[in-house]
Amino acid sequence: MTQMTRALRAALLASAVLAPTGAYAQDATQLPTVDVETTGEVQAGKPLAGTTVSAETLRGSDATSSDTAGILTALPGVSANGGGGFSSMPTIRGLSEQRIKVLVDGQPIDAACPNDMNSPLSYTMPQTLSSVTVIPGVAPVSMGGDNIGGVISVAAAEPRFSTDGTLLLTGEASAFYRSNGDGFGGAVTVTAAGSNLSATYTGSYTQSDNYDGGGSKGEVRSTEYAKTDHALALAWQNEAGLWEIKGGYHFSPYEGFANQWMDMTSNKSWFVQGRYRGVFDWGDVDISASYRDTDHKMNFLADKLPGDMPMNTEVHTFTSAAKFSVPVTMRDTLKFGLEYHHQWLDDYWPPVEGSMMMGPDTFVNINQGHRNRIGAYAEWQAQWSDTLSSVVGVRYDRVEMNTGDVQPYGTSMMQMADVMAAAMFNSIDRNRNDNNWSASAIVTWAPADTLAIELGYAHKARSPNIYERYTWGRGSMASRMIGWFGDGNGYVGNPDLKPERADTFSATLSLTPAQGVSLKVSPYYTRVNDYIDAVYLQDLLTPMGMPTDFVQLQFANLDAEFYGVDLSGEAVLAGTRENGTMLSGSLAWVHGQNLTEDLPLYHQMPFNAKLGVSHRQGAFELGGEVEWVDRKDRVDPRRNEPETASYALVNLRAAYTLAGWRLSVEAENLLDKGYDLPLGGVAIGDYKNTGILRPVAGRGRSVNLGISTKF
Amino acid sequence: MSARPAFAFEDREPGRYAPGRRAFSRKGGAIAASLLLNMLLLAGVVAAMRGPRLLPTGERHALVSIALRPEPRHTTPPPSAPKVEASGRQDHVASLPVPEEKPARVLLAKPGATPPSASLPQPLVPEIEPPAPAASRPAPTPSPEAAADVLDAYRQQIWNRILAARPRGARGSGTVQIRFRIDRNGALLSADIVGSSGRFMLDRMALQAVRRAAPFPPPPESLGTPPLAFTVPVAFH
Repeated sequence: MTQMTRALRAALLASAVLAPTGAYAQDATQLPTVDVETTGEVQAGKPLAGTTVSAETLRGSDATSSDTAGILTALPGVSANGGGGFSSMPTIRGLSEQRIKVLVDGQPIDAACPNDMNSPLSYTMPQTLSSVTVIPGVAPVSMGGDNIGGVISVAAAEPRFSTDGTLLLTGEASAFYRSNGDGFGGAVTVTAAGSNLSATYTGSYTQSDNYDGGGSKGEVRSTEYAKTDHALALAWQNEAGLWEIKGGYHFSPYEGFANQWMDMTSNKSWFVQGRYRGVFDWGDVDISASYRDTDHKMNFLADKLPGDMPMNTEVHTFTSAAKFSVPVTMRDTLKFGLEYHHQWLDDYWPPVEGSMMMGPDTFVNINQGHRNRIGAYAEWQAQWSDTLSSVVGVRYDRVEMNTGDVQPYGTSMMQMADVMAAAMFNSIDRNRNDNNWSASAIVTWAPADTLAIELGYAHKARSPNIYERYTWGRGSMASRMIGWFGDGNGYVGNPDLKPERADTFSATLSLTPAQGVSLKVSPYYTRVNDYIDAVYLQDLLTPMGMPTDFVQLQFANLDAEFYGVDLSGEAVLAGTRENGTMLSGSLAWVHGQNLTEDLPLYHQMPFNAKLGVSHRQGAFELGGEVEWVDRKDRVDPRRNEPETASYALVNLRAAYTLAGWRLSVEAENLLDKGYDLPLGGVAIGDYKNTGILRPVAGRGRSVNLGISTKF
Repeated sequence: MSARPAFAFEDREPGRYAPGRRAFSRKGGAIAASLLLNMLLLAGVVAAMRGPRLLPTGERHALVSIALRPEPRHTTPPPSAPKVEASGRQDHVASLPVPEEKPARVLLAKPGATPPSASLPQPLVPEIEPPAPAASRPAPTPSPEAAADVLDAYRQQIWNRILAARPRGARGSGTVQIRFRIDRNGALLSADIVGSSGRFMLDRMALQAVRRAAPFPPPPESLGTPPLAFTVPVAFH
């Protein structure tokens, strides 16, 4: 890319002399075009290690997915912890959940569920996203604090305005069907804009029944779901800058969770956010504020009946940020900013009439807990030359947390464990304040057109979330309601948790040995002090005192380390990228170790590789892919994590664009290979029906049809 | 593995609360209502946009010039004439002429040279001459070819400066046309977006690139009486 850019630049220099003066000849001298590469150049603040996936790639490679985290697994080093059908949790280089900062349109979304059912990406649909950026590990501190694993930023398109004064009407629409599980959905984006005012409506709906596992795995229970998202964004540009306001509503009436005791039976969330951006001689300003209100309910869907156990969570969040970017010299840019984030959370489980265990009172899991964070950062970006850039920044985040008194369902003998735990919890001071410092330094250097090297170091810190610190139930059932690990075990919070602090070293080597051939290799090492994991408390027994497959654990600080390498490459075999045949491949390996107990860490993706061929000729696209995942034998014995076997999947797809409509057909898991998801957890939905505990099986063969258009 | 689930939740009343798809059909109305509400809002906005403009188009041109730049050379207010009228960027020639820009035209009207016209490009192509410093050339000669050389060399210099100041960290694609004027010392008199990309950040970043590139080297005297006017397209890929 750099090579091309330079060639282009040389050509432009020549053309500057040879072909001057255009339409402006009469009153102004025309200069040749200044080309700005938004990708591929060495740019301060855009790490090589990061990957941005464009809308075209998102739609082209996986037009029929409803799970944004799932499609991110196409990137090396990114995998997904299984959850609901649209609520997978991304994992970057072994670090998952809230260790990763997930930003949707620039705003963080807090967990509003003790099982993390409504993860931030569950509020997005792949079909309506404009871009996804993943920056592993060593992300510049200006991209967000309170994370140790990196940043995932998904965004709708930037507002568009009419360039000729007429009404600009543009958008896209898509629909899809998946044979496995009878999944279907659709999305529409419509923008209407004048020269100064722009409005964009985005809406989507998707639903699916339980899917079938491959081979003889049979139906995977509790995998059905339905949801709809709607948002309206208004933007106005004037002398002072760009003003945006966006509001939206999300509703999911049901989402099964194959690896949880509970299912989501309703999730309603609305938000409104405003943003102002101004570009001035002295610098850029970005001021934003957002409010989100989430009402989350859990109970049992059909596969987990009979039973009744309502669990409700209400969350309000408010976020505001003021960010400045000041060019000090042509070389240096200073970035600084302030952020404030407020989370308020109430989690209560209403009594069940006639139940001895779940009554007569409401079980108060979290009583008006709050987690407020104020952050400040300063970052120096230097563009030493076209081939050398650096970013150095420091950041401070103060996290303040507290919560009110709690209560168990009742005070009978069966509830004794919870009664005592509640009394203990209520007797302690629960106010916790953390002062977290983070820093990052990245140097990117391209010594030759064919080679770029990046070295990065970061120290990052994250404070525990509300559930990690403030859940308290010690009874078997109460503790099994807590946890986003999909292992069926019970978890107890720990008010004495310390923030986890990670030191990461990473390098990225980007090679372009020949035209159309590129290779990227990223080795990394992360050491986490006070990694928030868990320690064993006791085996869980049935009410009759019989042993079970499950244990009770308590959140605890351990030390951990992660190392591995991500590798990706592509080669144009014939023609060009746009019109030709291309080979692409990737490979990822991560090793996560619990240093305190000298054990493997839970849910670490085994070695995996992908190899794909794609061919495009005019309106016709063909693609095939083989994905291979090694067996998972490094498991966390404390959680009874099951081993999973290695597997290989074959996917084929074809698409044809006719009169502006793109029709696609895809055979996913063509050979109907039966396999277990290495990060899928255990199948509680199946277990409650069959009494047999097995890992959650991956999706069997599915023929997916997609249609989309742009206008 | 036990034959029965360890936790059967036996003591719960079955069926009292049976959420799921039935619950969903009850919520159908809510979805429809929210959809309708959204569409109504959108319709309202579209209707508003078809109506009177909130901002005269010309304003957008002015807005960039009023940025915080209180230097005395800004004594003349930025052009507020309707330069960027709806005719669009395809045809800038028609939309651009503004009286105050007249001095710029002198730029090419060298003694002996043909007056600026549509056939202008030809006399400007003497020989291939990569970034030759204008200073090294002999003092201004009345020859039109030499004048063209000087212009080209000078143009190359300012283009290089803009290239060096090109925006970093932009996202998205589009082309922005920037028009700017410089005085006899090379200082920037004004810089305006005359062709929008339709994307705010790209427009503004392109404009800032030109502003950051200033001050430019003083134009050679042979180029005529400043201010000199230039346009430059900035293309984001």
